Parts: sequence; structure tokens; C-alpha cells
Amino acid sequence: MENLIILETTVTPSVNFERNTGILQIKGRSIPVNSKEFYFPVMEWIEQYSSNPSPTTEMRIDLEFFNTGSSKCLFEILKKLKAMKDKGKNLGVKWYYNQDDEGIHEAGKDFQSLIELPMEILRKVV
Amino acid sequence: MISNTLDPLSIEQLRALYFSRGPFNPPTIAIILSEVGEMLAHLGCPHKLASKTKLVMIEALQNAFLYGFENVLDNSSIEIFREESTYIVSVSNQVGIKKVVALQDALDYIKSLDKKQIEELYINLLGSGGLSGLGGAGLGLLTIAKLSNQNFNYHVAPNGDFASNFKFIIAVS
Repeated sequence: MENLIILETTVTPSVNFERNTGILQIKGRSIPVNSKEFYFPVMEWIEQYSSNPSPTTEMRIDLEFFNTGSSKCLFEILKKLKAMKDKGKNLGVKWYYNQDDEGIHEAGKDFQSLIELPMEILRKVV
Repeated sequence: MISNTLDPLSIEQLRALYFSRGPFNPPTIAIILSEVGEMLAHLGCPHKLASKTKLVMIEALQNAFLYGFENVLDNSSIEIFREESTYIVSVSNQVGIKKVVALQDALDYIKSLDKKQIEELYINLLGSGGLSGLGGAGLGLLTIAKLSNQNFNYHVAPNGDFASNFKFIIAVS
């Protein structure tokens, strides 16, 4: 299985999913016209990865800002990770937010309250 | 009469800290966010407030993009004002008659909820399955309500038989 690498644009984040290390990172801005279209290959990759994952998987979500279409997609991604966790896979999520960025911080807490996953919410000091 | 993009700026627009005409789409929204981010930093706006203002702008501008009236000359615009420590985001655009009624209903409903109900509705909507592709099925309006502590308002003025001018005003503090 190949790594998934999508380069960042002004409206979409970079995606860097490494099969061997199990580090899956989404970073940047996420305000695409059609979030579902952008995140479809991301979800598809996770679907395939989940059948034979790395011994440990760490999902890192580090978004400057995102629209609500993207938040629905992020939730779907977290649900897929939850399904992996339920199958006994070793997995954690790190949600990053900039210092004083209340909106992104709260969004992380919303996801945390919605889905039972080991999820750390980490403040980045600017 | 539909105004065109060459209209002179109004007094209100000239008073704004920031003004930009549409059309709004993700690439132009990204540019506006960068420009406003720089402006707020220059004005010494606290990072926390700047962040909230930008998140509100994303949702208001995407709302204008998604629910704008098609097949007319775009007359959408965004203005940002400051009143003491509050930033006011005002987004105007044309909306089709049917859509504007649905939008008004949604906003009136959200306005009638208290903070806890908004939080609950937001979490329910976020957690409800399925992806609609475009938009977040009402999450955007709820995000605006959350970030502004429901300090928002709107104005609707008919514009011809098929569209209305919609102005969405949100205060962030």
C-alpha cells in the first residue's frame, strides 16, 4: 500500500499519511467547495489501511481553520478510526490548535465528546 | 434593479475597516481571510478575537457562496466594522426567494434557542451520519451562533420577482 500525499493549497490542507510509520497528518486550511470530494480519497485510503495497519497509528489534525463541510468529513474520518480501535488496533489522535484559537480548540472538544477515541487536544505556542 | 460591480462605494462601505466585493468562492474567501488576518493583527486585535472573527467570516462567506442567487450579476460584498472591542462582520448577497425563506426560518429558529440548546443541536448535527458534499447542513449557521453568542441579525429586501437582497450582520467580541 502506498503512502497518501496531497499537497496543500490555499483552500485545502496537506495530507501526509505514511503507511509504515502509521503517522497520518492533515495540516493547513480546509475550506474546499466540495469537502466530500476532497476527503473521499482520504477516507478510501483509511479504509484500505485499516485492514492491515501499522502496529501503532497516530492521527495528527493540525488545521488553521476549516468550514463545516470539512468538519463533517473529519467526523467521518474519526469514525473510521474508531472502528479500527474497536477491532483492537493501537491508535491515538492528536488535535492541534494555535494558542488562543478558541474556535479550533472547541471544535476539538466537540469531536472528543462525540467519539470515544484516545484524543489529545494540544495547544501550539505561537 | 440589480446593482452591478462598478457601483460606487456607499457611505457605510467607506466607513468600514475592510470592504470587498464578491464573487465569493473558496479561493477568494482564502484571500479575504489572509487580508483580514493581516488587518486585525495590524490593529492589535487579540489573537483569540481575530480567530473567532475569521471563523465567523468563513461561515458567512460560504453561506453567501452556497446560497447566492444564480444567473444574476453578482453584487455580494463583505464589510467589517469595529465598535469599541467588538468586530462586526456584514455580508450581503442575493438569495433566491425560496432559499431566503428557508434561511430566515433557520436563523429565526437558531435565535430562539438558548446557548445550551445551540450546543446540543450543533453536536447532534455534527454527529448525524452522512455527508452532503456541499455545506454542512446547518452547521455553519450554528457555528456563527456559537461564536457570536447569538449576537447576529439579518435584513431582507425584495429585489425583483425571484430574488432578495440578504444582509447578514454578526458581532464578535
